[in-house]
Amino acid sequence: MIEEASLFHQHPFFGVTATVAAYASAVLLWRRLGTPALLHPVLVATSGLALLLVALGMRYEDYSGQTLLLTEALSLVIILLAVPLYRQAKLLREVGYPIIVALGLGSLVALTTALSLPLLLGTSRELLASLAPKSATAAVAVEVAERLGGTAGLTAIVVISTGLFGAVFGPAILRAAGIKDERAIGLALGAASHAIGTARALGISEACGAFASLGMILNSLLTIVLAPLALSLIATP
Amino acid sequence: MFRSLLTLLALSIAGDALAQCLDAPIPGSVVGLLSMVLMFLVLGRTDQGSARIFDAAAPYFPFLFVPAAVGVVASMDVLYDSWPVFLAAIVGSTAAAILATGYAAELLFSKPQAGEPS
Repeated sequence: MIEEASLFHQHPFFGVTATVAAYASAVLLWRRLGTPALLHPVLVATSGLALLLVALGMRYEDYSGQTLLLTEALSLVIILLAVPLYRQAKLLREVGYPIIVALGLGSLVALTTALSLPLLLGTSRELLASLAPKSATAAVAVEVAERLGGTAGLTAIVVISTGLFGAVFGPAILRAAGIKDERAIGLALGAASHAIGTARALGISEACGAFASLGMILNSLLTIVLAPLALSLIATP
Repeated sequence: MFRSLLTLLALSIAGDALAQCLDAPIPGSVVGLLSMVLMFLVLGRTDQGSARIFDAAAPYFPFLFVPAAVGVVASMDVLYDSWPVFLAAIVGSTAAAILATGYAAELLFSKPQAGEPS
């Protein structure tokens, strides 16, 4: 029985099959329940797969080896961001200076506030590096975290949760603060909660979504530059 | 379509190679992104095939992210020990970043129309 199971999960397609099955079921469940934020398909599929690995006694290294191409494709996702960036470039020509200043400030605030509590508590470099890129889009965040000595898995969970929190509560927070300009709302949602916030902004209006898309990409690029700087300033390993 | 796919893969490999050769502080994929933007600038528009690949693939980006996220099983102890730090970063830091960006943008966007009552 144990031997059969081990053969079964040693098949080169096992990892991808399990991932597709888990994600498809998670999307189905999510839609059936009315798309609740806490049950985002990535979170549900991840928990399901984690339980499956434990149940099968399969090491994460084996699973990640079988799904390596999916993870590597994240770098293609980053390159493809050139398409929305070029599409929204006209906004940069129109209101480039306010966009850059607002995003620079937002990026700095995201970094410093994310790192201040763990710094006060004296946590590990691994944790700091995993938290620093949390507002960047997932593919960029994982790349940045790994280069800085963080953990892809932790970063992934933090990034998704950040996106969900911003998308669910962001519009209400901005409304309470009296911010009404849809361009500002979009920029803030995209910069702080990347693709998930951008999807939410697209639901508000097309202009809001366009600014969110730009905010997401430019903040991700800023994170690539600012996160290593911040960590080299505070962390003396 | 195949030509654009080939361009995308070639940019990925070339970007990684270039970033490694120059010991660049930015990842190879970002070098690839910037090269693709440069290509669009030269063309004066987005290359149709690349745009089609992006539009077709974008809804599935979250799926690609799942295997990396499953890696959290190796860090459950960190998550368990430091959950207040994670909660503070996810809730507090995200709210702060949203407010900072939103405030600054609203203020700066409204500047050119200074005559408008706020």
